[in-house]
Amino acid sequence: MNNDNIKKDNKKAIIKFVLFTLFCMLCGGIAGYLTSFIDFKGNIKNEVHNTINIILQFVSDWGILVLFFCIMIPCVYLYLNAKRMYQNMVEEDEFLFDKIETKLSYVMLLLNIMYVFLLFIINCIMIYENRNMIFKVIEIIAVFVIFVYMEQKVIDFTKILNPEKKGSVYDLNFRKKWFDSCDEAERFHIGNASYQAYIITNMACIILWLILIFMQNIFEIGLLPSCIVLIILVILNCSYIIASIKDSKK
Amino acid sequence: MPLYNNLKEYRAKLGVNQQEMGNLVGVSRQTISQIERGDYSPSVTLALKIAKVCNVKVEDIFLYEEEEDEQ
Repeated sequence: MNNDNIKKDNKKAIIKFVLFTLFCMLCGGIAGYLTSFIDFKGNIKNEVHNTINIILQFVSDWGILVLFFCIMIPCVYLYLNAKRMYQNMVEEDEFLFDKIETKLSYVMLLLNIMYVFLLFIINCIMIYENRNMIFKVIEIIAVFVIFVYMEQKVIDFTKILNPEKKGSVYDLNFRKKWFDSCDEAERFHIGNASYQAYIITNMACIILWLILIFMQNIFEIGLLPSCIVLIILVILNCSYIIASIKDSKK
Repeated sequence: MPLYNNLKEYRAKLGVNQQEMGNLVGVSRQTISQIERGDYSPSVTLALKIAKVCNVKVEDIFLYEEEEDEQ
């Protein structure tokens, strides 16, 4: 691509880019100006605070049980369904294999969502007083054990479908061993999926930062939340670029 | 992708299933399935391995046809 084509591409795109930037600046300016007129000191701020406290207290008291039933039951259903499909398979059927693997992927997705919510609930339990703290600790440990056991069942079943796969869920190096046992097509798909996740996380961080900037002004939540989002953004971008540089030198 | 293949036919001639084919060439059953469906184009190394296992030339299994736009 010579210089003329590069300049042509830039000229084509720059007008839209400048207009979009000006539009964003206008919207941001108006929203920022309006927030200075919003006075949430007093009743409305207290109302919001009280409502959030009530919700988080509920999460602290009942969150683990709700989470367990809302997520674990679909996980078990999907897993048993996949197992049944495999046991009823008479001869090799590539479409059935794909369906089974899709179900297992959804189980992993639900388990990962459950894991994140569990961490959030632990946060709530630590902030909000609980009459039965020991019981809460036992609940957390029980859910964690079931979570790990479910993960192990899914991974073991995946290894039955794909015997070349290596690694145990209980191994601290599991991710590396699993990746090393992936062939070229699987690594290609992992690369594509990772890139999609990178793009979406980047966008999500920017949107979160914008929301937190407004909340900073309105609810006086301080700088810490937006700083944490920016730390995640810088780790994401730096790790991606450094990994790309290392990969290109192989 | 403009890479077509007859892998399924050659695999049937060999009398192996996708898992066994995968074992012979060192990839997963999933990869063989994706190649046969045209969802994945194998690397040169893998294509050569497949051709060697099937005892034919690479061009007999994999066919490259340029799309009209590229022409």
